[in-house]
Amino acid sequence: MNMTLMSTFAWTAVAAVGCAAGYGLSPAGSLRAQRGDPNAANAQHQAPEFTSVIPAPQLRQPVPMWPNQPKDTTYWSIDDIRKAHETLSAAYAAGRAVDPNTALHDFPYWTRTHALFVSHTPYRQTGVTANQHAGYAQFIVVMGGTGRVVAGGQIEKREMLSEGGRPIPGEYRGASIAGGETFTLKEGDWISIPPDTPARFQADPGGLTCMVMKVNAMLYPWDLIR
Amino acid sequence: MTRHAPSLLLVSALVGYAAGSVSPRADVAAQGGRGGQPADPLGTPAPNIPPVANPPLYPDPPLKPMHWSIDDLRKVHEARAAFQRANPDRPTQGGGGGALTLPQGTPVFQGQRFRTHNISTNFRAYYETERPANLTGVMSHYDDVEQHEGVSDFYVITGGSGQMIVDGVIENREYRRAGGNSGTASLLLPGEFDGQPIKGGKTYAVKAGDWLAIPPNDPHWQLPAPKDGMSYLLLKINVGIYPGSISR
Repeated sequence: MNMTLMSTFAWTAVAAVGCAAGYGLSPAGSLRAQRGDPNAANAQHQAPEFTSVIPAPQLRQPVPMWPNQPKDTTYWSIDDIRKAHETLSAAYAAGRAVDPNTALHDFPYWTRTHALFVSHTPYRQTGVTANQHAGYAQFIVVMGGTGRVVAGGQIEKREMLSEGGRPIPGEYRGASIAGGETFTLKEGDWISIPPDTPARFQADPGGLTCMVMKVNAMLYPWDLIR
Repeated sequence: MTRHAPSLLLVSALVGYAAGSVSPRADVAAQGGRGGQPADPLGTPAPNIPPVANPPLYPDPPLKPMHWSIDDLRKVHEARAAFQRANPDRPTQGGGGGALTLPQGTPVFQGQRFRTHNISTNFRAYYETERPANLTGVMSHYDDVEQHEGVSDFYVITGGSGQMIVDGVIENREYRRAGGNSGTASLLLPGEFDGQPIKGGKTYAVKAGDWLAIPPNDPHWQLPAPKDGMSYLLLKINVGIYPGSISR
């Protein structure tokens, strides 16, 4: 009886020692090494030393704050500005469609942050004449002619611009504006139109020519700007 | 018993090894849940945070359209020029000459400040007698040349005449200081430079109605004609990441 009891005890002890040894040697034990400060030496934290297989290349030049901007100043004389309006006014009166930007040198003027365009509104222009641009603010200088602008309010029956079946998000069009404020315009006047604010220009006989500066809202893709 | 003991020990060790490989260890659990956050022992449900709406494309703009009549802009220039003729030694920049009090009825120019650009006007005078320039303090008939790394400038001359010298380099260039360079030490404005004269620049004779587009980092110097002075639209367009508090 005693021999049987001792044998059972011995079998159990051997099995327990075997299990404990196997458990301690199992791969899960390696996870224990992740505990604690991996950069400790002699119980003191050491600053980690970072190394890279591929070293970072040296920059050849500082990153400019103004990428893709013109280098030199551009100057436009009031004489050239007036002549551009007269050219466009005469062309439209004769029924010739002219790209307004061809009427003044260095137009259109593009930079990463803003762009300048010449815009001509003919007399009695009809149809889709109200515009709203979510992506940029406008600063406008009247180059010649007289007319009016309605700014603010809401475009009636507003639709998103579509070109070749492709919608242009942020560009809205319509034929009229409800509400808004009407300003009378003549040569030399300025208008500031915040982003997403509807505007509709109308010209007196002779047309109205304006320089339109589009100031990008900063993150807006230029290819969506109209 | 003795004969079977090594076999038993080996089998037991294999069983223990297998058990250890699949068991969840306390030290593994202590490494936390997703994202390194400790597991919630109470099983509290995650807070229901609604998704953040898309930020606006044009935060904090003035919402109102503005119109400036050329008639008002001319009146503002004429009033400033007349005041300057009556006070020829008064500096036009920096506020060193006291508040400008224009005759009653003179239109007040109201500018507009956007996150992306800033609309204002400025007036410059030719000083009959040389006086300390507005920024560097060197003796001159003119205010100092300016150069801004962080903004493009667009000018429309609204009154008077003179010359604009642009491009080239500023001789005796200094960092601009918030309180003027000739006074006591004040905050340096990184990206803003001044000095005079311009070396190797291009000169344009300018008059009312002319425009200039001045790119970032391009030196520019206003040389107003005597008596008339020069007024202009000053439209500054931020290059994108430039602190507006530094822009001058």
